[in-house]
Parts: sequence; structure tokens; C-alpha cells
Amino acid sequence: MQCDEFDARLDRRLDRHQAPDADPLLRQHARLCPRCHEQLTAATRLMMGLKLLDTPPLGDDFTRRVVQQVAPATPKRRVWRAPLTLAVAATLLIALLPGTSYLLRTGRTWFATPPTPTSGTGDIAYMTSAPSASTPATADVSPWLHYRNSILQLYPEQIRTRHRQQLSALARDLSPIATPFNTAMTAIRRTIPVSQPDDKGQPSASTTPRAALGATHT
Amino acid sequence: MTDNLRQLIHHCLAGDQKAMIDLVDRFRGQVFGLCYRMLGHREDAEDAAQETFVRALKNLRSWDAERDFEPWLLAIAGNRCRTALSRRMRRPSVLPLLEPLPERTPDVQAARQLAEEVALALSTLREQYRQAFLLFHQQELSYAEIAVVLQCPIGTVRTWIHRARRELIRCLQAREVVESRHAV
Repeated sequence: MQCDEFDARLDRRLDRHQAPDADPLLRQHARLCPRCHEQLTAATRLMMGLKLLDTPPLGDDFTRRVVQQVAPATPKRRVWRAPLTLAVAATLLIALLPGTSYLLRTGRTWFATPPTPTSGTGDIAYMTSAPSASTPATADVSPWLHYRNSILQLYPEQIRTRHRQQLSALARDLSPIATPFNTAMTAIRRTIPVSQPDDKGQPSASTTPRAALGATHT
Repeated sequence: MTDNLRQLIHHCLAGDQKAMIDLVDRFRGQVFGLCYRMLGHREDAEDAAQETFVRALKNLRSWDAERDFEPWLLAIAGNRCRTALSRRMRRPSVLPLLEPLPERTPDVQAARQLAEEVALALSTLREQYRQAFLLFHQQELSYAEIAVVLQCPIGTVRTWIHRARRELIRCLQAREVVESRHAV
């Protein structure tokens, strides 16, 4: 056997995962050739060393860490809020009970029929000669107006008249506020710039309520 | 590839955590072994192995069911190791290539010494040679499978493995690990 034949045969054995020194032909040549002897010895030692290579143990929680990163997060448990809801409901019930019993006894309702808001003047009864709180309601009346009118309905006319007289005596120079309540509310709402400027860059009319208010007051 | 593994992967795709655990447990030794031999550092190898499994599980849908799973997984591991090595090259501090092993009896010590010499010789190899060599001799993958892992022709893989062997033998000879003539 020649040395290059030896090399090719050694490679073939290693490619087949066979022990190099177990081949009698290779051993025979290696006995005669110092260079090939060293090759064979080194190859044998290399394969032995590979099998002895030590790998440290992997951490116990390795798998758990991997799966934790991959698995979708489990949804958080919802806190049961029933006790809180019950407490709020009970509080509201206790708060509303005296008023309700009064209304039941007197035959009144929580929300009285409000006046027509489109009248323009006199929503506040004792300041103007506008229609009273018993004026039929329209569909677009705000809840606040409902509430105010229900209060006014419970407010006796005599007290209202007396109150008006006292106010007139105290502040003769003050002109009564003629602006209706709903008009004032609308004007206040308009101060909130909800609309975008038009294509010329000018703010829309709804963002300039002062002019409208001023015109009503003067 | 066995039907069992195919079924395991199918369950992983459905989001079954138990199947994920089984899959990781099945290949963790193999992946960590390769990473450890490639990087020579336990913490780095553990990080690379973890990244490998996370990537593999997240991209399980991109795995071609017609092909073997193992080379696909080891290809990810190889890429993670390459990234870790390039990151290490940019880092100023030098990490020890070999972890110190615990002391053992004298008989075992000789074996340990040989393993250390082989590990040292491996660390001197070119990255591609080392990976090809380890995949062939440690993971016992075929040339064709290694070609898939390294994304190169089979002929190239064969050349790299043969060159790696020759370089390792030369290195062992240079370090006088090879015994005298009478031993053979």
C-alpha cells in the first residue's frame, strides 16, 4: 500500500464512523511508515477524544424558560366585583328611598313636564313672565332642564313671588337675565371647539359664541 | 422522520404547551451540545440553545414538513452560534474557550486531558469547518443533511470535513498528543 492509498482508506473509514486502528491493512502499512503511523495514531486519538468530550448539564428550568417565551400569555383572572356593585346599589337605594316615598305620598313624579325651550325668553320663571313649569315638554329638552323644572314645580308660587319682590328691592339697577337657560347652555357648549377650521383656515361660527351671547345680553 | 415527531410538531402548531415541552426535551441535548462545542462557553451556549428553540417554535409554520426536522433545527442553532461568535468578536473582553471541569481520578484524568486537547484543537478550526465536523462526527448527520444545515453543496461539506480532520490531526501532532510508534 502506498501512502496516498493509506490516506484515502483512512478517510473512508472515518466517513463511515469506523475506528481507524481496527483496519488490519492500515495497521500493516503504519508499522512500516512512520508518517502514516503518526496519522493513524492521531486519527484514533481524535475519535477517542471526541467521544470523551464533556458537555456540562443544561439548567433544569431550560425547557420551562423556552416554553414561557413562546406560549401565549394566559389571561389574567378577573376580580369578582359583585360585592362592590352590591354596595353601590344599596347606597343609591338608601339615598333615593326618602325622596321616592315622599313622591309616592304626594302623587308627584321625579321629573315634571318642562316648559317649551324654544320660547326664547322666560325659562326662569320668577325672573320673567315666561310660561310656568307646567308647560308641555318637547322631545329635545335637556335632562338638566327636566331636573330644573321638576324643582320649580315643587317650588310654591307664593315663595317665588316673594323672592322676586325681595330681589327687586335689593337690586333695582340689575336687569333680569332674559337669556333662556337652554340658550345659555347652548352658548357655553359652543365655546368647546369641536369643529375643524374651514378650508380658508378660519374657525367656524360655532367657536365664536361671545358675539351671540353679547347680542342677547345687550 | 418518525410519525411520532410529526404528530408532536402538529400539536406544537396547535399551541399545545405539553407538546412544546416534549419537543424541547427531545432535542435540547443535541442543540446544547452543538452550541457548547461551537462556542466553548456554557452561558453563551445555553443562551444560543434557548434562542434556537424559541425561534424554532415561533417559526414552526415555516418548516417544510417534507423535510427532516433535525437539520432544520440544527441550522437555526448554527446561525445562533455564528451570531454569538460575531457578537463575541465585537466584545472587548476575552472569554475562556473551555470551561474548567471537576477533578476526577487519575485514570479518568488522562481521558479528560485528551478531551481537553481535542476541544482545544477544535477551537482553532475555522467556524465552518468546526460546524461541519461536529455535525458529522458528534451529531452523526449525513453529508446531505449537513449540506441542508450549512446551505451549501454536498461536495463542499465533504471538503470541509476532510480539511477539518486533517487540521485536527496536525494540531494533535503538534501538541504531542500522539503516542509513540510502539503503541499502535
